[in-house]
Amino acid sequence: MEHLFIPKTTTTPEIKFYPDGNLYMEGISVPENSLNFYTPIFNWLKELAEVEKEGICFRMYLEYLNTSSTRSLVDIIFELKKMTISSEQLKIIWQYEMDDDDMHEFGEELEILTKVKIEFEEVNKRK
Amino acid sequence: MNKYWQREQAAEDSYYNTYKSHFFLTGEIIQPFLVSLIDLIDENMKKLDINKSFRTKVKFVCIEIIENALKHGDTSQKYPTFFRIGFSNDKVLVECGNPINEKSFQKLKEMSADLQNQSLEDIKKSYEEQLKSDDFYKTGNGGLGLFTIAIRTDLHCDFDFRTDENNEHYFIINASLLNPVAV
Repeated sequence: MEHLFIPKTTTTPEIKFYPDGNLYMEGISVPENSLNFYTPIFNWLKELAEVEKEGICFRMYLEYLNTSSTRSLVDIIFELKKMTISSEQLKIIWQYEMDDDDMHEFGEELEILTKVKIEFEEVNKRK
Repeated sequence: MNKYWQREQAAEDSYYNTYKSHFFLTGEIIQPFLVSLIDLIDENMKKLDINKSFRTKVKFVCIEIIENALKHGDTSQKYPTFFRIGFSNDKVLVECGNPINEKSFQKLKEMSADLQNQSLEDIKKSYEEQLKSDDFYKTGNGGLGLFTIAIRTDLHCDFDFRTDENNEHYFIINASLLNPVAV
């Protein structure tokens, strides 16, 4: 299985998804049509479901996103949940900028929406 | 300024007394402007020393307001879209108005009436249900942008509908956000 790399654009995040279960997403997500952007990601995840792996680690760092991207994130997390046998096999990390309580809260909202445990990591990427 | 959406002079005077820094644009807002516009607003907020967390909240609201104008804006009508953001020491007011067609007029009117009749808790519950609904993509996000605006502003938002003598409709969103750090 090939990895999935999608470069960052002004409206969509960078995607670096590896078949060993390491998944990374970083940037802004405000595509005009979120389905157009996220469909190849869902297709790739369906393939990942068939591959043997120890676990999945999905790390996200988003500066901001729109409502339709929020739905797509929820769908990605549901897909990941479906393909893992136990909760220990699935690690979801929400990175947020130091002092950005609002983005931290957004991650917490995502946790409530998906009912999947999310770990939080404070980072300092934006100058 | 376009007098069509402008408030009474007294209200405008009060606005300019309250909000000392502004960002205003009018014309046609198109999708490729979205990120540049958000970046400009963010730069403006940085210059005003607005804290990171509040900047994020403002950006979330601006994105939904602009996307609403992009989605429902009817460019065939004579009135232009406007977007204005005003900053005071502790408050930000985001306003956006755009012409809409009859179908959007009916839909937005129904949705805004629905929102204004609900408590914040009920809106959060509806948001969650609609966000996870199977019809989400089919219904073009089910109008969840307005829900997001209501939630992020703690219901400090209102929706105004105007119709002229030619039955052309105009929709205005006002959203105000209070910066808890500045209070």
